[in-house]
Amino acid sequence: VIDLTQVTIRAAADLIVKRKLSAVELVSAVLDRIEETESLVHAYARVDAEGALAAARRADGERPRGPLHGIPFAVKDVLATADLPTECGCRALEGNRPARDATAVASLKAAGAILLGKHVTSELVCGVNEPVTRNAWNLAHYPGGSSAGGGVSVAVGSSLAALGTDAGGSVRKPASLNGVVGLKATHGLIPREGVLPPSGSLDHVGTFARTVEDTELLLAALAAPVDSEGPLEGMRLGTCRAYYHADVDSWVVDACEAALVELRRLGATIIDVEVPALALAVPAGVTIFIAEAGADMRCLLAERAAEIGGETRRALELGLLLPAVWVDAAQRARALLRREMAQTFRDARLDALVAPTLALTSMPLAQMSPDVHLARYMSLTMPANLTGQPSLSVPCGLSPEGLPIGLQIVGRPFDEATTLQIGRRFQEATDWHTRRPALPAVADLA
Amino acid sequence: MQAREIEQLAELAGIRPPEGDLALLADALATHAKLVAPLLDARLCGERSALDLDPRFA
Repeated sequence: VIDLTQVTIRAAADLIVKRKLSAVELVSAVLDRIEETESLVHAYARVDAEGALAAARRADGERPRGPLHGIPFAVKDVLATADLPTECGCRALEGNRPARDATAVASLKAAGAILLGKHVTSELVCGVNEPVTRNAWNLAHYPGGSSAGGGVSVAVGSSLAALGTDAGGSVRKPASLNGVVGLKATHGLIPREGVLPPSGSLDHVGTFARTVEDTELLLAALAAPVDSEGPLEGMRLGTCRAYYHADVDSWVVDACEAALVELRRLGATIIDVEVPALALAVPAGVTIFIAEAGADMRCLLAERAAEIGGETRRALELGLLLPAVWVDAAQRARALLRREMAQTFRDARLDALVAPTLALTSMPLAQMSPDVHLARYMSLTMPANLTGQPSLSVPCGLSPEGLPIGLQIVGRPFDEATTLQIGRRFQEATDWHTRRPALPAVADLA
Repeated sequence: MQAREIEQLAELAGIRPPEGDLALLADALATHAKLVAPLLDARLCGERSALDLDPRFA
């Protein structure tokens, strides 16, 4: 018996094509799972059960269009949807109904996938969300960044796939913290049309799924098919321990080192590299993000400030007050990082850089201090936002507390094929991606 | 910076932060000044600015 809430897209697609599973059965099972889990994890801002079931009935009446036919997915509430409000977690946008779907949403629907609803986002991608989204592996712990709803939902089985956005790690972070696969493709490869623009130059639409193979199916519909077949023999993978293993929890370093051993066993050559400008990634990324978010939201801020939460409002206001010299220095640091990264890939003939996704595993929400911990949570993901390189997070271990650890594979620009190839071979050789959280029953929490 | 200066700067940017935000924004700017210090120390004046967003490696 297959658990339809934990089935992969590939496995579900095979059953749908063979008519052994209907889209209505699959969507119904996932809607039931949403019912069971939402009061625990709060991953959704809005669920459209009626619309999803109607779409599933239509899908069952058609010839399957491809592997996403009948597959239920959900999207972060910053991606425009014509049939559902797009409120970005903000009272000022309550009832906002875009005229059409964001291009990425439309692409998945055109491939036959079925929209379940909108995942929670932190307010305008800058603030907080209430009630707070919970980590799938420990409800008292941090679930990840502004796209946490997608990572949590795919982990607990309340969607098979999700779309989020990633301007500093907001897809890869919840993917890593909730034990699922997150992809931020090369900047601009997945169209951003129809996405709330908090920081256009850093932001990317990204995917959540349970396996790299499923991620590849999503990317084929969102951008273009890639070929991730082929072994790792002859591949050259860089590791930059001076940055990516410094100020990192010991169990995260251990899991990453074990992954490097596995990748070497699979035929890859591991090469130590240094990229000094990585040290500037957090100040540069945070400065550019805040400045661009403030500029993008200036009109909303000027006209409807009272309907924006205090924390979000102040972050946006701060963006409009930063001295130009700071923003300019951040852009120059970004140029330096891109130049050094390109030089490193060329000189060492790298196929990808391999590193931990995050410096730490999920911590208790009650112990978090935004000033201290948010910078640590983005220190290893922000570099790929600044350079625009593809970056994939795959599960690679568990902490002593049993919380997921992610391995980050950063590829050459527009070389998603190699990036996914490395992730797929790693998943074929390990079973970290098959581990699932055991949620307590609601009654047990009472 | 003092709250009054923040208010004037915000006005020039076309926004009017609530009274209660002004002191918090002054603190936030001071905190951000510490964050960006390494960028200024890095002496990047000769570096090209990254306004070209083409992610391909040159």
